[in-house]
Amino acid sequence: MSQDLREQHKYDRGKSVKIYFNDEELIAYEGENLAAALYSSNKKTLRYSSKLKMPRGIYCLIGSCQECILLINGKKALACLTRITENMTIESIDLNDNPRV
Amino acid sequence: MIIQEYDIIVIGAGPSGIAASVTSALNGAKVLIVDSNFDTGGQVYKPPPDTFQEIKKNYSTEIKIQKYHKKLLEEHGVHIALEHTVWQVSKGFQIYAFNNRNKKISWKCKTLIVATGTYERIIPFPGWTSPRVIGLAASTTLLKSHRVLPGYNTIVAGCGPLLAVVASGIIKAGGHVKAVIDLNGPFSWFSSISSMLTNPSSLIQGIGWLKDIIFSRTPIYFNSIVKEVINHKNELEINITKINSKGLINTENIIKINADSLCIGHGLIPSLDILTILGVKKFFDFQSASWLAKTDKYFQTSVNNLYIVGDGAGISGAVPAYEKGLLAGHSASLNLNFISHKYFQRITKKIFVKLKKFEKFGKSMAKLMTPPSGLIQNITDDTIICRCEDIKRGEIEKAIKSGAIEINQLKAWTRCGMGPCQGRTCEDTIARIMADHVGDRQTVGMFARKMPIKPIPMDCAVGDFKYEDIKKVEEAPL
Repeated sequence: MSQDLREQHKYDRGKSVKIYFNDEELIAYEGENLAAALYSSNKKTLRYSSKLKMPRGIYCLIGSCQECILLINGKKALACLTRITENMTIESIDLNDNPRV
Repeated sequence: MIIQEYDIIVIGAGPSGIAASVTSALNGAKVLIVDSNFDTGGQVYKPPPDTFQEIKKNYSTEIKIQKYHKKLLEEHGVHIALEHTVWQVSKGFQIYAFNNRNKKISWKCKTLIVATGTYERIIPFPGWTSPRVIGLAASTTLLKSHRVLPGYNTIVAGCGPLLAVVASGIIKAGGHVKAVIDLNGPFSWFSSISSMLTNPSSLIQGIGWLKDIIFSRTPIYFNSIVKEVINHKNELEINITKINSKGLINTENIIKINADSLCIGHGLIPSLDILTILGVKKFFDFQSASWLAKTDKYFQTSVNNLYIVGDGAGISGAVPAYEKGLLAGHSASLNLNFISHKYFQRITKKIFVKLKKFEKFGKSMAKLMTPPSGLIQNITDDTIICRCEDIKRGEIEKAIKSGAIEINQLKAWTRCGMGPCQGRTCEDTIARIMADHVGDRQTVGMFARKMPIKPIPMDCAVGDFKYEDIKKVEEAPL
């Protein structure tokens, strides 16, 4: 299903901007939550688990589970605690290939 | 690093944290409130981003409360540090945090009020780690704050009042709920309505949720459980089966439903991370099946001038959480000599009356959220328990057979709970599995909490201090 999951008709989401998820261009809204923006653009798999390489996506949305950790503008951060900015670059990471912090 | 000092610091800007900080500020204290979110309100009153404009201005009750609470904070001169994640708290109360721009900061305070709320409990099943399987509480955030649907064809499963909240939220936002899978029977829905009778405003709200579900003719499967989820390319295949009163699967019959997402949750767990680091005394509460901090009636813990308020002090909901915050705020103000004993007695007496009334309803809701204990026995050996380290039940069972009786021992042997989430997601399940073998949760214990509480970028942990600043530990006598 490629439809946008954003709720329609209730909110004006403001300025639409381009973001780049693993080099793919997506449209999102400035100030919107990154985890929600990726999810609604059908980017359900954010990374693969460190040992069994199983797909993982958003899960708790409150900054507890760490499943939505991504490389955001070159820095490791949680998508659920990040707001969209124009031309944001987002990359999936393998936690085993990166030194743990 | 500059260290700012406060009389009172409150961690968590939900209803309870706000009540505590506004009360303390009103009594004359210099107060700071810290939160990792973009706005105040906590999880329960989390508003949409400030960049969103409602097309037809029609604020929900939640948004009205959130705006009112924020105004209170500002009017009473409470310092607000949003988008700050606390990663370490040391004794005598020094707090270390970092913000989204990887800026580090530290504060000191005489009194610390912890209002960090809860996180979600989900009892694992095969396929629960698949993308599109998200928590029930997470779904409420997605719907009411991010204004995004979990899916177009969603299954809502688990137990407690959040089932109705999420199902109704999806329908209202234009989505379709394929089915509601409830661990409990229809009786629990009636008993939740009867406990709502003590609280008319929640009764109206509750009837609203049920009306949405009934009018949309959503099928409800009672005494049922999600046995397995199979992750297909663009769809989830969800297998549902019946359970008995103890929560055990007792039939071979399976119903298969396809959906594009699954929202599932089995209640909430109080967040005790900061309290554990500071060494407070705790006890295992059988009714809510979770660990709680031992406190006095003003929510002061066994460590002087350290308080726990809100749902973190025992789950009873947002309304009593506010009253708990008021009590802690006044008690903290008394201890720091901002108010007289006489005033304290007079004012807290009134708050206790309200708290008692509100808690009755909240606690009955919390009871519905507590999953039956037998549920744990349905988890197959091949099911992942620790999501961070990909540890399956079979490996945990092997460690228990080899003699692990305490949870930290099991952690060391299996790496369960050693990943980035610090065991927050798997601790409850592991403890339940172990308790089935060793007898009780007290023997099993809790994961030791170590700093950093949340993973941090290395440059946030490294300080710009001089060598002379490092506190040297006195050498042991020979």
